[in-house]
Amino acid sequence: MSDAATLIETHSLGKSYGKVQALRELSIAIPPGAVGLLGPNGAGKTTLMKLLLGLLVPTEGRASIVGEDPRTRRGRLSIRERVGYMPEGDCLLPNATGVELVSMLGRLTGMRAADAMTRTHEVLDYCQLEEARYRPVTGFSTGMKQRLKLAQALVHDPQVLLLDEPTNGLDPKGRRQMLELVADLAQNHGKNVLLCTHLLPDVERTCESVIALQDGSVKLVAEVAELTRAEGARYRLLVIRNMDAFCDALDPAGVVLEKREGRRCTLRLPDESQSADLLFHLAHQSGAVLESVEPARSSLEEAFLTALQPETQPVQA
Amino acid sequence: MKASTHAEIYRPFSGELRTYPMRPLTLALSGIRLGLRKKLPAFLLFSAPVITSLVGAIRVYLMYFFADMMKEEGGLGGRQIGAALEELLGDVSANVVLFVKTSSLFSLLAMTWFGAGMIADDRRLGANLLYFSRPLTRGGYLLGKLVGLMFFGVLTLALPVSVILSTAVFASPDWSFLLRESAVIWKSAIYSGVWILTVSIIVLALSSLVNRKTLALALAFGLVIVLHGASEAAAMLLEVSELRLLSLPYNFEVFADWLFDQPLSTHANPRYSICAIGAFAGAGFVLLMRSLRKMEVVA
Repeated sequence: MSDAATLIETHSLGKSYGKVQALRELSIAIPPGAVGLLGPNGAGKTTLMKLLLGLLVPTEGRASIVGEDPRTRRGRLSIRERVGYMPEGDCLLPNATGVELVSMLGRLTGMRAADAMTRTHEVLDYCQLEEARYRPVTGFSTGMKQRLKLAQALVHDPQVLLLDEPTNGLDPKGRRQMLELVADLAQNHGKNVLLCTHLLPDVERTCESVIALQDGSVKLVAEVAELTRAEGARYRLLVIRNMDAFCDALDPAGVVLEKREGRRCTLRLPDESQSADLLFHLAHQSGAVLESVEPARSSLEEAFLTALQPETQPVQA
Repeated sequence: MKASTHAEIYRPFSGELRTYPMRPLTLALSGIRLGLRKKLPAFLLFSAPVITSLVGAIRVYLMYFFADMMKEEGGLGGRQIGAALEELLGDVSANVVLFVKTSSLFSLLAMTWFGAGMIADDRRLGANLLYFSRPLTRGGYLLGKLVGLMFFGVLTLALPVSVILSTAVFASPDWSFLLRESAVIWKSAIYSGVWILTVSIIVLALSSLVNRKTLALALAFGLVIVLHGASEAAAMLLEVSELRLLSLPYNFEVFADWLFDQPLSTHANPRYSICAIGAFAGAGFVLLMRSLRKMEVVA
């Protein structure tokens, strides 16, 4: 039995397609909430989602989601009632209208005809497809198709949402709309979201924790807040005058210049207890003008890239 | 511009999800609706059965009408005209059998057209991921597709046949067709049922093997027409009449002749033909289940 505080659990889960090992010895426990599943293409993210839904059979190991085993028929049917899946590909029937497609899938999940229709209109409204609902899918833009896929995943009000690359192919506006919807579902409506993506900012914006996969193995398990926390002794500066003199003054004061790009630089103070006053003092001495000083945050990207370095062991933050 | 009262908020679903036994029906209705969405193919494919059934119904009605009229008028001239018309129009039962056989071919065209894309398009688009991420079993999916396709078979074969039979029943004097030739009614039902089920299974099986409707269409017509021609030619050249059993239309022809007590050709063996039809349907079913397993769970 899985732990009540664990939504998804895998034990030595493996999947190979012929000679290609898509997932290997994957053992993770994913808590409820919004979790990002990060990784480059071919890392095994989609395979993991399909294994969780019982759409693939594992070569080895086992998995459970919402306490059910997808390998059994009963488990699969129970999972599919409680989980909403948004596939990555363009899987929509082109001749169907948005309303037809979503209500039909609602009925297939077990909703009564009237419930399915009411619910269809609600989720299409929520996904901002109110005016396009009676148009055939073939005339939808990529953003509308992605939102329609989200709507069909939401129609039966599932406990868990498995979203496979929801921002794929979207323009900045469409991407922002999609991420707002995902964040709203996770933060305001108590949906457990497993967001599969290779875009770090998407995870940073919507998820509480992150799991990074590479070559079918876990490389990083961490809280997003932990990875992006402010580090007391590091600062990012924008220097608009006498940059060279300012940089020369850093070394004698024990301040380490980590990175310099044009007029921007990242510095580390010798002691974590020291405040940024030291930097203003050095700037005053060297005749430099600081336009901005802000605490440096270790970005998710940095953590991710570090985790994906060759020979890196899985990191538990 | 949106009304100020309009708010796009997420509302939780307060209803309940049922263990809904009619899920395949939902899928079937969706397939039918999408199939009929393109008006031109539907018009072309349904117009032939409609015209044939109208002509057949008028012909059956006229047969009874003239027979009745001659009986009433009597006289040598009347009887002679009646005999001539009877010879021209033939026996009602024979007309029904001819109509059933002809309509089968129109039905094959329509069912192949509507069924070829039913699974192939799902495979190509990946729509099976949407279906199988719901609590829908392989059996439910198969039943949904089968019922959807059989509906087109009913529209193009069973319905026109029932129009002819109803005309015969109501036009015959003193319900004579119903009382004396009722066997034609249930034999027509059996033949239509076997035809529709077999063709549905075969077309869906071929559709499940490929990713494009056009390929499934080519496969279906190849299986029916090319194999029919090849088996007929091979049987004649090699003088092995059993080779004709490879042809689905031939087997159904023999089956129809046997079922409706029509004279059989010298090389026809109804038992073998029925077995061959069963083998076609069985092979189609096995292929279909194998493909659906791959579509639901890629082992």
